[in-house]
Amino acid sequence: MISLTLITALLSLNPAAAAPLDQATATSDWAFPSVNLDVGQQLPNFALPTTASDGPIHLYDLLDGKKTVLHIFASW
Amino acid sequence: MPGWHAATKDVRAKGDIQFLGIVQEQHGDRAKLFMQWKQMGWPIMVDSLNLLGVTVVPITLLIDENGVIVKKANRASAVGEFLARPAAERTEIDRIAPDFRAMMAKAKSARDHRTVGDAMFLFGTDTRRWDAAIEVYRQAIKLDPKDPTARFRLGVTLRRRYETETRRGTDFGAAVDAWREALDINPNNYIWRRRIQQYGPALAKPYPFYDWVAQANKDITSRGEVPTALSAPLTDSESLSKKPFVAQNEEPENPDPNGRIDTDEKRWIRIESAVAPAMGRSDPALRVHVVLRADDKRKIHWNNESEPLRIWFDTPAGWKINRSLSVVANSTTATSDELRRIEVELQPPANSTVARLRGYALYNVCEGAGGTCRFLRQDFVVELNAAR
Repeated sequence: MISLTLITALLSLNPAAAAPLDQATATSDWAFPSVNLDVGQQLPNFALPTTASDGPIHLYDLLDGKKTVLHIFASW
Repeated sequence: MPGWHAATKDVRAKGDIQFLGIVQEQHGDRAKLFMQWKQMGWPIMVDSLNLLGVTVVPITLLIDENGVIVKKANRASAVGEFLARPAAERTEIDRIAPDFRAMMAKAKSARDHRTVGDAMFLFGTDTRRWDAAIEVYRQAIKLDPKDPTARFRLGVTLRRRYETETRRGTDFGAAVDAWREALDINPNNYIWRRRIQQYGPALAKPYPFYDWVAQANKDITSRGEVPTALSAPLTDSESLSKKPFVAQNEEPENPDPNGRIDTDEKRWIRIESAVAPAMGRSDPALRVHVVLRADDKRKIHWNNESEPLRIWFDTPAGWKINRSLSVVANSTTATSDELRRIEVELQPPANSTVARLRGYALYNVCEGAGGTCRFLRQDFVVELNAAR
């Protein structure tokens, strides 16, 4: 059983309050999409935090319809 | 990456192409500091949970106007051909966000719970999100104990909470345990392995992970900029080079062998520990992290006008330790309340992998402004398990 504390926390968390997500549709079907990095695949519009923001930003808000070099890396 | 950045300077300046990064990092501000150091100003998404599911880095992809992967590229010279492609017609892409309440109401399976945990980690807007995500990941693990991904993400979230005011003293150790369990189930994920190696013993280091940080801070400061502050200060283990375990030659003098110093019964100082193993090695070793925090609610602070903090370990029978006695230098001010930490390494005997490491700390502390100052001792125990 999930605890009462958690339920209370759940109800108070409001993703719509995050500014970059104003135009996002809140849904019970949300899941981080499966990402296929093969050539020819279209990237899904996942959201992740950035080094410049606390809240998540959707990928396509950063791609902004431009040709992009995407580096997936680590600084370690 | 800096090579790509330099080679594409002109086309980026013209706006023909842009760069975007996704970093596989526990602490995103480490990547922010790296980007500042290398003067690369493009946006970086932070995938601490490894939601992309990548098992190696780096990966460089050329993406068209619609987010379609056109090429996997190893060299910046590939950009010329990419730029010559005709522009793709843009299509509209939806944005969705999680409705926590509705998701939780219908969560039944382990995967459902894991997804709720992911949603809380990413989209939660206050510090309680860590508590909630941890509880939901734990529920996911209870429903499917063989799911390594939930365990890895539980570890990431515990370690994240450890850097906040809502931390539990056990969070760091529990994070390492969760990462170890994830690797026990799936030993092949390089990204997960790096996370535990970050805090592990020197012999398990593939290379120093964050030895560049000191140089970055120096270079950034010399440019007249303020370096990005790190929310989680570097542990010693994060900058270590790979080297074999070396036991101390001779045991130093035990500073309080008979326990004559008064015990810190009020717990003015809180002692936390975590043990990071060398995963997947035939010559096991453990790195023990000990963190001491002054109780800020009671305004406890270190008295820096007395002897420095000392930490002693009684080496378990048959085990070897690299340092029985650690001394933490005082700050230069008369009093201070900073977090203090030490790290030691141990190696088990051939016939045993489990032991109880007993230690104690001796410290000079004061209560409140102008309050009582005392020299105190606190004993603690760290459970060791090199078989993990």
